[in-house]
Amino acid sequence: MTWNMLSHPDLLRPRTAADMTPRARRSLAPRSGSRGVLAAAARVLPLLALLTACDAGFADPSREFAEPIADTVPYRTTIRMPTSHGVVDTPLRDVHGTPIGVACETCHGPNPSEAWTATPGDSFHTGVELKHGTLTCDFCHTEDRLAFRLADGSRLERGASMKLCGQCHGPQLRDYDAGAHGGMSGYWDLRQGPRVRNHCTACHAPHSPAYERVMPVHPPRDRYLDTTPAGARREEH
Amino acid sequence: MPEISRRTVLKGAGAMLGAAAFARAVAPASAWVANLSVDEFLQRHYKELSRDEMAAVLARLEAETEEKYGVRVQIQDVRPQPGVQFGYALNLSICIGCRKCAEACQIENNHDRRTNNSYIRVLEMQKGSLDLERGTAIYEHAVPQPDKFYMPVQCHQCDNAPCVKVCPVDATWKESDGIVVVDYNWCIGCRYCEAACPYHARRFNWTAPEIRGEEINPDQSYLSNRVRPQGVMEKCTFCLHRIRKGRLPACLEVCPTGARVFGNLLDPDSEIRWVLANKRVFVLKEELGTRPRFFYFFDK
Repeated sequence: MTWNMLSHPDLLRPRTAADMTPRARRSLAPRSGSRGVLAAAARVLPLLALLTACDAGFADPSREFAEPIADTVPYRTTIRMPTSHGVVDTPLRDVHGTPIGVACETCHGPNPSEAWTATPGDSFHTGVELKHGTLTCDFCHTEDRLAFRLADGSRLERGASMKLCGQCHGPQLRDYDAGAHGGMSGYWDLRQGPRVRNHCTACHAPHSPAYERVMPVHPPRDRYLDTTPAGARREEH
Repeated sequence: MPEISRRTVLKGAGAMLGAAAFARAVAPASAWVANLSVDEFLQRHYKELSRDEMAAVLARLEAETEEKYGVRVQIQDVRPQPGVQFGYALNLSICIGCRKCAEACQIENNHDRRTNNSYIRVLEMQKGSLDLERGTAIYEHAVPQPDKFYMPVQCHQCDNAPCVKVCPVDATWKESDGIVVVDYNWCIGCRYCEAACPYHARRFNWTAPEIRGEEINPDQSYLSNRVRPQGVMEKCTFCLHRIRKGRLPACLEVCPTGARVFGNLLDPDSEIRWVLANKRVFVLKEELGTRPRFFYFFDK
């Protein structure tokens, strides 16, 4: 007999006394006196004892849980903003060999410095390798190069670039907003501490966003993984 | 000078031999006393300890660690929060197989450095297949390879955990926030749990961990990352000493691609709940009925 047949409504419907055998009628009759109670207890008690034995609780129940956390004002989630915003690396190097960075306003601001504008733009922005689909500079940067340009032509101030990326990468932005895309550190429980989240550009270089391949850190020496690719025996663990 | 009889000589030689044999026979007892204190031998099960007894145990373990590794550590008994059930999800579309999580696990959880141990094993899998037999955890080339995907496997904190069922001494159990833990001082090292786990998530301490004192993470807890003794089982606890204080697990924080999502399954606004509701989620070896707390998902 399957479970479905057992639980079929027809089988569960109460019968009249006339349908039943005498034994079934007795079993349904209300129990009288203490004998019924004792019999029920005798049946339940061993079960209770068994359940208690299975549940190995704490000898000191106060050790079972930590102190509950008071519901206070939650800590904040902050976004680790790009540090290079508004600075471009030039071909010039300082004494340590580090590229000299120049703020965009130096050339693109209201008072451009002639020391820099004398250099043609293409040879100047050498730190930028544009490998982002078929995009060109003007797709994301305004003509004055001081802000971002959204697809509808409107201006977006620097620092709000996530919206710019999200125009094309909608699913990623949706996942990011839900906390399911992008690295983070700190606290999962904002009642206990703050959280810091990555910005898009922490992982994806905006001008060439494809992820570079990396070498993995060393593999475990594990007894289930008994050979290296070269076939040498691994140390056991 | 009295004559020494042959009988006397034989008796003397016999007595000396007997004494030597006795000394040799009891020698292991002295070694046993040296590395096993009476307190440790008589220590009761984790759940049977009162607060005072637990404090004494922690103080003893801290002293032992200082004696053995020369560093002062803090070992706490971190208990679960009420109203919290932990869940973990991993985005297989994003993971690049860099093994940074395994490395972070090793540092955080004071693993043996000689075997490069970690609770996480990253499998390099053929795209289009979920056959674990065809995955390998040993790859030493630039990642990600275009025809592969990468699948980190660690303890799934199963609700129906085979490892807990097979333990003959109740040294491992599931806690109220869903984390499966081991009482290292109660474990007898029979390794039944290691055999029972379908995810190969448990590790055995064949030797006492080799780890330099200055590399030891001093923020420790009794049930998770304290330095384990030889001959006991150990396993991932989602960094219990961190998560029960609200912090994210070490493997999540270090992940360079953000492939990992962690949180409270009972909080409807948590990130993990969003993933379970909106992503194509699966669990590993679902057909075994282990009901894992660890979920995998793809973006597309």
